[in-house]
Amino acid sequence: MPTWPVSLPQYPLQEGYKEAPGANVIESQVDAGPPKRRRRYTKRNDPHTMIFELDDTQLATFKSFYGTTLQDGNLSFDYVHPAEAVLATWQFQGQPEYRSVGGPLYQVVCQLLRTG
Amino acid sequence: MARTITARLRAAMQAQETGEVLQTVCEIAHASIVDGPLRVVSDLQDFTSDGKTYTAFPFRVTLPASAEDGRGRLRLVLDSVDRRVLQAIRQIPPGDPPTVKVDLILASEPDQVQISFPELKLRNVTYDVFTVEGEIAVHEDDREPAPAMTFSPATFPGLF
Repeated sequence: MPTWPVSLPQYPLQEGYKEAPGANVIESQVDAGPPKRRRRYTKRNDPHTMIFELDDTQLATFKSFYGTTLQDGNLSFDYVHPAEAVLATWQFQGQPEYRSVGGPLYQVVCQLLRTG
Repeated sequence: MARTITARLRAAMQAQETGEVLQTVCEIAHASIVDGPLRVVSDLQDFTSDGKTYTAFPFRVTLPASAEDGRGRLRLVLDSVDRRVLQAIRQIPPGDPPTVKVDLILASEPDQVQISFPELKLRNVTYDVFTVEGEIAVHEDDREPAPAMTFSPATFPGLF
């Protein structure tokens, strides 16, 4: 499985970092009282939002990683969770967004799904 | 349909909320399927039950309601974005449907089948870019019409 390139920042910016537990509840409405609910899957996929600050060279590396290595984001990759410091498996959810922050610096907004 | 509902499942079914996960596993078997029967589980990770490994795969089974009249029919919808399922189904010759088995198993009791729908036949398969779906029903010879056809003005007008 591909691995997050070492030449790219290993930690996202603190500002804009978001993570949440994935939905794993299935509910049935009943005639009276709260809905019956149970766990749907034995494993959960957690969505994350990460923003990385890259220079020109790193941006080119990222674009190559996303477009070629991950086949336009279709493949999963390994990356160490920035908060938990454990190796995890990730998928891109949607396309990354690039924005210039002045000079040779860019921010890349990534919507990622932790799958393992 | 066999039912051996354990006390744990019964408690989970009757509780207003539970952390138990009821797995739906499906086995599709036919001589033309390479590398043995397809075993899939509707979960986000593989599942092992009674020594058999079921691959995590998105699919949906519509189970029949318990009714006094008529036979139960199940509907199976499999994700077809990954073409392997469709290729396996296409290898099966017409007139020789695959055998399908659907089991409901508690994830916390993986070797105990709670509810089983065995010896079903997959028929009327249709597919598109995203899904493969078909009807699965018990094959009951005693419900087939006998004789299969009759000589009548509608079917053999030349005789009348």
